[in-house]
Amino acid sequence: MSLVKLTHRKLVAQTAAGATIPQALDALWACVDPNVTTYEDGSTRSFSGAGATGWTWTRVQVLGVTEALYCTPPGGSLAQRVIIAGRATAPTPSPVMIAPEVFTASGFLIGHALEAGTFTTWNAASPFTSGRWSGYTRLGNAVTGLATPLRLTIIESQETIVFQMLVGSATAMWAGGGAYVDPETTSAAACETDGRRYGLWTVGNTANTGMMSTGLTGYIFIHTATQGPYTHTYLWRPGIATLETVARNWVVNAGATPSQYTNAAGEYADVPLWVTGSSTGWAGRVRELNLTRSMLSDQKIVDGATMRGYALAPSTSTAGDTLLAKY
Amino acid sequence: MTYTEQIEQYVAAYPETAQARLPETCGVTTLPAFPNVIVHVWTEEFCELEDANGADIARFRLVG
Repeated sequence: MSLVKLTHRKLVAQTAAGATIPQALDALWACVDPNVTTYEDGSTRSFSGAGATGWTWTRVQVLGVTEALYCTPPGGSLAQRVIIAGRATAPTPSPVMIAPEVFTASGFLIGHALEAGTFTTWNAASPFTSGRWSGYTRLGNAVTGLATPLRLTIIESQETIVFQMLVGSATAMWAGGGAYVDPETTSAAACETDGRRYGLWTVGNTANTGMMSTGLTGYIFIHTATQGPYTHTYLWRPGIATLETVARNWVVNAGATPSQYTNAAGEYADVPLWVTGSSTGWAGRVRELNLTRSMLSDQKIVDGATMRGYALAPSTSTAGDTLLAKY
Repeated sequence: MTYTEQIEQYVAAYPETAQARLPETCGVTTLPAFPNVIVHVWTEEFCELEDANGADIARFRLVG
């Protein structure tokens, strides 16, 4: 039996005031600040209660300089957290990175925790004192070298977040974390105690309009083992503090034309993605991030008056492989 | 990639590595490609590379 369907809500994107990582993190903070109570479509951002999608974010500053944001979901029983961090120079101690990633000055780092205790500091060996801590992977290159404007936003759902970077006038990139895989089973060996699979993913350091294909970077829900800044996808192995790498199964084709993914009524395809773990095998279905017809980045899909979702498409000018973050 | 390959990839990236602290759970006790790197096993869940003065160079978590 499937888990509850996630509903995605996008926060209003904010533009970094300059090309430094503290400025970029501050822009992201302006986007996610708990004082923001509406989403970009005007819907209410609720932080508790049935169906709430608002994650509670906290800004971490050192001597007045922003170094990290971390967030807590509106519900759930396994105390998951996500940290987005970055620093102009390497801190001491060095942050724990997920193989094969290395710390990159002024880059966005993203990590995931389960069974989290009290937050200490983002670069501690265990930032939440206890529980499982993934370490960090990365989204994009150093912000000091990115095209401008750099616009940042978060798409929140009940149990996941998607971090979106819109770089210059051309491209979009994403990373995400949370309970993003539905194992479609409650068998104990195949899921956490709450029936979910948790982890994180990143497209890497570039955008690629053929992101449903396979390669080193700019792809989605695959894994590159040999290079740090490239596409990575991870899941926690059920019940233990070990991450496994994950890859999408080829039940969908890349580079589909719009007509291939649009029916005679003008309705768009809505194709689930399935992933497999490197150690535990079949992992399950990516939750409510479905393949649809090619679109441009940052578009939203509306059917009459009904909001259907947000396009995760890599380019603002060339229609490319697109996932629909379902509303 | 095996755990050994993941670790050696990092050591290759940080040639100043003199010693490596590795989780006992990973089962790696030697780095064949880097016989001069001293391997210590510890109870932490992450790996740490250190220079000759014992200063940490990089920390990372193995996957698999």
